[in-house]
This record gives sequence, structure tokens and C-alpha cells, in this order.
Amino acid sequence: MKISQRAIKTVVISSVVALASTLVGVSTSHAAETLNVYAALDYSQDVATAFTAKTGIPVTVTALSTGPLLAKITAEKNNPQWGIYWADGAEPCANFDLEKQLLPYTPTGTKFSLVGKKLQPSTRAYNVTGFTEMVGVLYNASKIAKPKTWDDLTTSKYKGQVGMNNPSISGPTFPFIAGLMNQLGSEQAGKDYLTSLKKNGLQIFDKNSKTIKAMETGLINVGLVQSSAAITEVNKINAAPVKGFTPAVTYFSKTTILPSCIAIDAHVSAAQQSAAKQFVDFAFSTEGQTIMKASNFGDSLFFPTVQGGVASPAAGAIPTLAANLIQIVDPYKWGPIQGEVNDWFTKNIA
Amino acid sequence: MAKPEVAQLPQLRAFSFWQFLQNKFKAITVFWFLIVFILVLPIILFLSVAFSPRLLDQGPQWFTLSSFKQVFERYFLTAIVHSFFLGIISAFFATLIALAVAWYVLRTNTPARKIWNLSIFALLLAPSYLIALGWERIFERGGVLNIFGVDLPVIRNLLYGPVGIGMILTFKGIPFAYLVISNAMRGLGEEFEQAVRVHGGSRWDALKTMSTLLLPALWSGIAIVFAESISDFGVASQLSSPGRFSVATFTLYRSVESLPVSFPLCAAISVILLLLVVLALLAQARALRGRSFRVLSGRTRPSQRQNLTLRGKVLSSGGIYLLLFVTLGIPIFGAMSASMIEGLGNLLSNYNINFDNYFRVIKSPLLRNPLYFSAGAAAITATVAVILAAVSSKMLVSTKSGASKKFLDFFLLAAVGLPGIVFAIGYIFAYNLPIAQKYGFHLYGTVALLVLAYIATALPSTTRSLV
Repeated sequence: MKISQRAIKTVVISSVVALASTLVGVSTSHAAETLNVYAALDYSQDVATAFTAKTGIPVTVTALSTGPLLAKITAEKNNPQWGIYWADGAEPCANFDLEKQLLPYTPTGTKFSLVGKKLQPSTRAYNVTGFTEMVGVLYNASKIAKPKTWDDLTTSKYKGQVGMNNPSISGPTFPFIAGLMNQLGSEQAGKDYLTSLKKNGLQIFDKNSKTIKAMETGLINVGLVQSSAAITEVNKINAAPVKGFTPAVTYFSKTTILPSCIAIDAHVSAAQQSAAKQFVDFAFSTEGQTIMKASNFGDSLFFPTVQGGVASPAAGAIPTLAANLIQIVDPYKWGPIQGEVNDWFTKNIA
Repeated sequence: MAKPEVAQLPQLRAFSFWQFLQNKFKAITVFWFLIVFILVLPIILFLSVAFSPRLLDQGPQWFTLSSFKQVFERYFLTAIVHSFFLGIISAFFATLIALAVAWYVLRTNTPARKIWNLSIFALLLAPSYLIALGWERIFERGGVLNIFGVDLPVIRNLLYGPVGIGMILTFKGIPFAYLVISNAMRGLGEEFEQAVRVHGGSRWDALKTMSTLLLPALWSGIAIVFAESISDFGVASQLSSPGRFSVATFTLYRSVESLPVSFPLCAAISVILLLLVVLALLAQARALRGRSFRVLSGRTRPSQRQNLTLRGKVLSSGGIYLLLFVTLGIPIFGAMSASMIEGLGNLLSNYNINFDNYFRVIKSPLLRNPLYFSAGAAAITATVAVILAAVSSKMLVSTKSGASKKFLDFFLLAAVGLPGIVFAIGYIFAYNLPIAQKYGFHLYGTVALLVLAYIATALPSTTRSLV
């Protein structure tokens, strides 16, 4: 059947009109009053839903892991779309602050604990809603003795048995490396330690979940992962015991605190900034903190930074600075060298 | 006396909006408008960041080649070299296998030809990621075989290295090469083979003659499979990391996901990938050296199928079934069995075989709704992509050699040669531009933009299918 030119034009134009109508008809996610939250925490959507129910302010949550989230923010650099950034690790926020991208804000009516006060930056460019520890040393008690110090992991007893995350992929892992370097006295000392771990058969995995899976499949018996991920795994296996796999968590001296940071973009509209401030206040409120702990696993197993705050039952006792077993690293010192350290790690350790 | 002229009132015609559209906008203008905005603009903007990071606020320099200096460091260069050789090997083997299968399916009465004709499109449409996943689920630690007490560490180690990656890229390349070769073979009459046989040549001599006549199609097959292989991310994402065998697309993805991200570096890697694709095209053009291989004429008769002996039927069918088993059967079995085994992936768990995962998908809106959404988006994508591909393919096969044809060919090939993640970033760069927002062009962050991106990634393969 011969198809006329007119018929072809008609089909093409009608298809374009149909497509154009879908483009025009679809409402964007960037209505003036909608608050855009970019978050890498499990509970962010629940908090956003409760916030909207309470205040009537619509919120759109873009939930990704830290790497893709920061990639999206970087790609949008010439026209930022986010109002709130909320993720583990203070280094990205410190870098945003150095680039004058953040709006300083002190949450209304919030009293911070001693650890909480120490984690807040002097510029008030971001706030810390909670913290976990890097790392929880997860080990299979059925197969291996409990390691007690960082040096234990470089001995023959643990040869080929240890795994950790790749800091280039896993947002929480660079603070762990920064903490090692801080504790050992220098960047080079930290690199030397990691090199000795590598020589002792250290295996690298992308993220907490992959490192833990390697333990479950018996590829390794010690995993250096985020404390919340380690505790979640222990609780999971305790609820459904498995023969031959008895995960347990221990912490070496010193463990580095990993803050969950929430920050407001200084370049969004006044309406979004106002909504963002209310969102931050909500995150620190009793209601917000309760929602964040509600699921009792994963990111909910954080330690609070507010006075009188209580951790989720499964998280365990809140670590204190007094015992001198935990340390806080300066993100403004370590953040600017994150690229160089991650690059070294990828080329020499991963 | 001459009659005075009476002014003629212009005839009023009923206004037709439809007529207005058809007169004002030529279909071809609309076509180019769409091609530029969904294909050309995102690609150009993304690649420009390799040379001018400051253009899109990704660095301080207006012009620099420093990103390329990083690309030629050992870590990235090794990955690019791996991709290059894997591309050549998979292109060669995929084309060889496709040629053999095409000959049996089109020129003989092998019983397996019907099932091949049905299955080839399944292989074409199956995502490479899914094929790799199926193989992985069977052989991984705690995988399907482990559950039944079978551990094959040798095969597992091969799978997570160049052998496994190259094998799956070859499987994925076979349908592309087959479509090109079979189209050409259909137009090739049997008189050339008969001429060779009449003059005392063997079947092998006939095959060599036919292969020579099919050279343009063979080279096209090699070029397309090479481009698809070096740009494939699905296989790389599944098999590249665990075995530590890096390929260019995986390092590109890692560069996007790494902390901190460097888009100029990603763009530089993409430029190199594109140059490799251009290299393949140049090699193709040089091999053909402008020779004409036109064999279709008014006297060309369709070939008659050769009658195979029983042994020939058994061997040819066996070969095709075996090919389908390894390219489709194993991955489908791996993916489906993994979906039915509860506790898979954990060496220490108790296992149950059930349909619980399927019930979870059906019952949970969180899992079910994305399927509906994807189906709807796919329907729109398929409709628009086919229309655009029809126009594109008509342009590509035209005998006229103009700038627009070369422009379209290059960007369609660029779309094949660049991984999907490049498109994603290119779309952010293009549609999040301040000028777009200023003039009310609010596409960024919408479903519509996602559909446009799907159309852009579907267009090249759809065009090739219609050529």
C-alpha cells in the first residue's frame, strides 16, 4: 500500500503533538513551595512524610546512596535544585561550606549533648542529627577469634580474612580512613597501615552490604563496616540463627565518629530556605528523632546528638568521649584531601 | 471602452489548525528538532566538559587537556586497552557465529531455523546485565550450583575475568551481527555459489565466495558489535568488579560514583570510547575501499534451500540449540531459579524453593508500581522511537551522501558507543541549564525527560533494525 507524504506528515506531527502534550501536561517537581531533599539515609522519606503531614509543606525526597547523590549535586552545580542535603559523613558538607554553598542555621530550641556540640561546625553551616561509628569490626565468632587491636588484623591469624569498603564508593568509609590517619599521626602512617593490611590479604568491596555478604558466603571472616550495618547483621542472625555463622561486633580504640549531617543550600529561594529551616527543626524534634529510630535497623541504629536523647534499643549503649575510645576528626582538614586519598586507595589497595 | 477592473475579494478559507501545522512545519524539521534536543545536545554538552570544565561549572579551566592526561595513567589506560581487545574479540567471534548460523538458517533446511527465528529477538532484547546476572547466579559462591552441592571455582574465576566478560559480550553481539548479515544474505542470489560449484569448486570455495560478497555486511556487523561491546555497561557492572578485571565502562561508572566525582575525567573516557568507535568505522571503510558489492539485480532469484543429510540436520540443529542454550537458556535458568530460591547467596542458610518473591512483587505496591510505570514508559518510548527510527533509517539507506546523513550516522553511533550513564549526565547538563529554567522550559526532574532519554537510547538500535 502506497503511503502518501501527507499521511506520513500527519503521523509524525500527531506523534509530536502527543509527545509535546505529555511534556507540557506533566507538572514538574520544582513548584516554588516544594522542598527538595537530597538524602542518603533510610528514614528520610518517613521523616519527610511526617513533616508534610504536620506543616502542609510538600517535600520531594531524592533518595540515593552518597556517591550518586553527590554526583547529582555536582552535575547540577550551575543550577542547584536541592534545598536540603542529608547524609552520613561531614566531609562533603565541609567542602560545600568552603565553597560558600551552605546557609548557616542553628535549629530552634535544640540542646546538643557534649558529643553533639563537638560535632557541630563553628560556622554552623550544617547540623548533625545523629552519629554512628566507623568502624564496627564485624567478625564470625564461629570461625575466628575476636580481634582486639588494629595491629591484630595485620597478623597471620587474620591473613586473607579481612574485608573493608572502598572509600571511593562508600561515603562512610573515608571518615574511617581519615580517622586511622589521624590516630596514627599522619596521612603517610595511615597509608602504610593500609598497605600492610593489603599485604596480609585485605579484600575490598563496594559498600557495607557487599562486605557483609562476603562474610555470609564465607569469603572473609572479618568485615570493617559501619556500626549500624554491623549491629543490623548481628540482630538479623540472632533472630534466625545459622549454623557456622555467628556474627559479633567489637570496636577498636579508637573508633571514629561518623556524623549524619543535614545542610541547607544557601542559593535556593527564600521560600525553600524557610521550609528547609522548618525541616531541620523537625528532624531535631522529639517527633522527628522518634521517626528516625522507628525501624530499629540500618540507619535507624544511630546515636543521638541531642541532650537526653535515647538510641534505638538495638543500637546499644551510646559511646562517650570520656572513655577515650572514640575520636572526632576535623572534616575541614580531611575533606579537601579526600579526592587524593581515595585516588591513592583505588590505585594501590582496591 | 474597456470594462473597469473589479477588485476581486480574496476568498476566505476556513482556518484549519491541522493545515497550518502541516504547512508551517515540515515533518523533517520536526524530526531534526527532536534529534538535536534528545540526542545531539546532551552528548555534545557532556563531551565538552572534557575540554572545557568551566563551561558547565565543573572546574576552573575554559580549555584544558588535563583530564586526558589522567585517562592515560596506568589505571584507566589498562581498562581502555582491555575494552579495546575485548571489543575486537567479541566482534570477531559474534560475526563468525552469526555468519555460520545465517548460512544454515537461510540456505539450508535445518530443522532449527524456526526456533532460531523466534529466539534471535529474545537475545536481541535481553539486557546484557540480565544475561550476566543469570550466569553469575549459577556459578557464584552461594549460587544455584552451590546449593546443590556443586562448586566450580575454576569456572567462577573464569566468569569474573576476561573470558566471562568476552563470552557474554559475544553472545550479546550475535543478534546484531546476524540481523545485518542475514539481510545481506537474503539479497544474495544463489547463482554465485552455483557458478563456483559448476566450475569444480567445493562447498568451502562457495562459502568463501559468498563471504567475499558479504564483506560489507560482515564489516558492518563487526563495527556494530565492537561499538556495542566497548560501550556495554551491563556485563561490566556484574562481572568486572569482583574479578578485578577492569573495562572502560566500569571505570567510567566508578568515576561518576566516586567521591569526589570528576565529570571532566568521565567525559575524557567517553571521548576515548567514541574515538574507538570511529576507529572501527574507519577500519570498515578502509577494508571496503569504496568497492561496490552490489549484487542485486532484476535477474536475482531467491536461493533454494540446500537439503541437508540426516547427519547434517542433526549437527546443524544441535549446534543451534547449543548456541541458544548457552546464550539464553543458562541465563534464563539462572535468573529464574535465583528468583525462586529463598536464601540464595548465603552459603550458610536453609533454602526453600517457592514463588514468594513473585508474590511479594504482585502484592507490594512499592514493587509492583514501578513495573506498571516502566511498561507505560516503554509503550510511549517504543511508539515514538519507531517513528523516528523509520525516518532515520530511510535517511541512512538513501543513496545521496550529504552532510545531514553523516551527521545523523555519527550521532546514532555515538549513542551506541557511549554508556547510558553518559546520557543521564548529559541530560542533567542540558536540561538543568539556567537558561532553560529562565525561559520556562521546565523539563528537568520530570517523567517526560526520562521518557525522552529512553527514546534517545532506544533510537540507534531501532534504526539499525529497520535499515
